[in-house]
Amino acid sequence: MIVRVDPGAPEAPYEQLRAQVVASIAAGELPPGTRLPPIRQLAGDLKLAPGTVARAYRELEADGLVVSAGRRGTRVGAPPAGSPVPDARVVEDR
Amino acid sequence: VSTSSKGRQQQRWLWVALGVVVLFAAPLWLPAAVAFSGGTAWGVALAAVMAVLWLGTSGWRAWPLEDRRGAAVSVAVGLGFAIPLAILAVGLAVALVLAVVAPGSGLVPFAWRVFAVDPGVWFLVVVATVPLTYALRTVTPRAADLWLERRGLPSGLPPAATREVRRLRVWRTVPAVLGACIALATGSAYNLALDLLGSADPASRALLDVATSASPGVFVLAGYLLGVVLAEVTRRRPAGTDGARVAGFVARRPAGYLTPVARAVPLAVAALLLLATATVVAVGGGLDTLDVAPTTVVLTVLVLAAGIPALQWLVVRRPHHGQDPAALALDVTLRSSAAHAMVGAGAATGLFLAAGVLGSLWNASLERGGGAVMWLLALVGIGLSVAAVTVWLGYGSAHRGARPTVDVP
Repeated sequence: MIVRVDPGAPEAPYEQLRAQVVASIAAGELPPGTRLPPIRQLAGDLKLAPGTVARAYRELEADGLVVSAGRRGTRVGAPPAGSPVPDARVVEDR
Repeated sequence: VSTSSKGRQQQRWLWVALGVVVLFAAPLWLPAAVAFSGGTAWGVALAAVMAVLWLGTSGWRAWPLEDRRGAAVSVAVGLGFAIPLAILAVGLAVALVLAVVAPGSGLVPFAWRVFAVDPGVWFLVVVATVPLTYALRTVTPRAADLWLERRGLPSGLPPAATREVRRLRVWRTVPAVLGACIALATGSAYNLALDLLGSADPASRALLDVATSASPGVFVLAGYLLGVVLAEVTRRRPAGTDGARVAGFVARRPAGYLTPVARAVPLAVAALLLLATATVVAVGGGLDTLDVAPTTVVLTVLVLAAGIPALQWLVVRRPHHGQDPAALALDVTLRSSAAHAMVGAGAATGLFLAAGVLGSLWNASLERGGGAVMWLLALVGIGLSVAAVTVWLGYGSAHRGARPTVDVP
């Protein structure tokens, strides 16, 4: 999976990142248990501040899409029964 | 090219390889009075062994004929340059050593000594020139394509692949050759100064004692390892386009770039080195038995157990961005190659040192009259040295069998 952040886009970088991850989870590209890249690694790759990536991860965790395990990293969580994964469009509209 | 023609070509190259081995090993049988016999002959024999192992590990026989011819020509040209350069370098070395060690003694009466006392000087430039000429030779588009094909990469990257293959060769050769030059130059200067000074001036010799305390192989491997790291640190990464920032969304860990065996090798060699040291100390009756400084053993174990994994982590975690799938795949492969090359250099250092540690026991055994144990130790030492060269060349030439598991679109 490839993520893309456009600094010139109207959406904030953390929102762009979050929307792409949500879309990938919904599409099954990131199955439950998949380990997300460490915050510092992704921030370095995308030339973003670590806080920006951390915010995107926090939002994903708040949505129940990922589970943070401290130093052991962040993984895609199992979808709760009866609650479908929100699609990227819905998340972007929030 | 027909099958029989291919067979004849392979036979021809086998004969060439055999001839090279005989040529290089010939000094071993020269009488002791001849300058080329002695320790230098063993160095040349080791170089020949390395060449043969390289022939086996590089997949040389699978190269296109024109590349094999180009490689042979580059080595021949390198040798042609090496001999006059050796004469020049020896002259300069003698002048420098005499100016520092024996000023006013005059150059001419002593100039011959460097050839007679230490013929290893002759190999200083030969050792330096041949690999450099080989590394700096032109990378043909066909060779670049072959390099890509062997690593399962898509073709269509000739400019980038050509540049990277050349960088890989240069960065893995030049620092290693510099290490060899430093090792051989200090050794030759030491021998010459010792011959001139004798034991009259131990204070002046102290500095040379320090400079020559490490094995030449350690200088070479340290240079090689430094080159691998610097090549990765200074390599230009693939860039995104149209202002967007693009990256693979995957956790990069050394396990994704290294085979399980390659990850285990440095730790196994560290354990082997510790075991060899403990055995020699226990059997020999103390640390005094060791000809290798205990500090060197401890440092090498630390490098193998912690330094190499840390460097691999550094290589793997460096920023990885861009959106050209082929360029990203090339980047992943180069990282994997660097991580494996570190394994090769680190493990070879540990194995050479283990051979040196066992050599201490061999020396002690020799003083007691030798016997079966001495021959066993000699065989184990030779085996460790051959293993060191094999692991170095095997992991250094490319990542073998390891397909990076990193997600590349």
